[in-house]
Amino acid sequence: MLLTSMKMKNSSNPQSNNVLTIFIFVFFAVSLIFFLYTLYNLTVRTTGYATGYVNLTVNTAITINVTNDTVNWGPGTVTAPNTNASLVTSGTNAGTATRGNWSGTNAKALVVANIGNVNCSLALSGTKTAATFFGGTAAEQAYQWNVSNREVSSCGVWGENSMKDTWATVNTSAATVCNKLEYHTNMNEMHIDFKLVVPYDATQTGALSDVITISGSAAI
Amino acid sequence: MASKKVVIVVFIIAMLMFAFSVIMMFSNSNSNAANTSTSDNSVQPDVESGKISIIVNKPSHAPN
Repeated sequence: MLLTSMKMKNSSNPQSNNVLTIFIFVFFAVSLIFFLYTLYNLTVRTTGYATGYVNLTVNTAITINVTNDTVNWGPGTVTAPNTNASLVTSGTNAGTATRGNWSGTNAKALVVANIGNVNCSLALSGTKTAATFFGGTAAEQAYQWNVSNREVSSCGVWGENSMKDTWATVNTSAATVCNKLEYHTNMNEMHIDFKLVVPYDATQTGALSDVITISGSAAI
Repeated sequence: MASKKVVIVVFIIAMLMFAFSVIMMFSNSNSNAANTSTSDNSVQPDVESGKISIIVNKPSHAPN
């Protein structure tokens, strides 16, 4: 079309032809600059320019750590003439024994920390009841726990409330005590305290123990 | 007549250069498209344990 126009204008108006010729040369100059720029880019890319991408995957991981994993009362006996002794842990303080002569030096609460990179739920269970732990008179025995925040707001959403900041009988089936245990530093630790009431007529004597299973799962 | 042919040749060359530049520009923009990938990482539970232990000696008395 442009060529036709050139033919027509060539035969009719020489002044228009000049304008068209100038326009074509300007167009040529612009195209040349554009072309050279493109060519330069292409050369740079094919000789020393490389593209790539960084593949970074951050996995979410539930990692709980029991920083104090043993409550050890050591040896002791019920002090006469009492019918039971009460042994209670209290956070990071030494445990206290009442009506008995156990030492609470190594009896401190279990400390559970969420050291992963995601909030998690926390379920607890023991394997024994007071009866299977000690035996003896039922009214003179107890095996209880008490779960609390060691750091403020560690548990954002509580689950099973029966042992929240209060004494409750240890469960042998898993109880989800916290639905959302935070992972952020300075708000990710909880205490599990224990209270043992040892009857004077315990049928189980000598070295006794129980294992507490602590499960961290996806936050509810 | 000769100058007219020159103008036509110049015009055709300009058109070709322009077309080449435009094509290369689009092909580069496509190769620069972001590469992204996603993966599903399910969270695995973690199980730890604690222990409570006590040594109970037989009392040397009977209750009152």
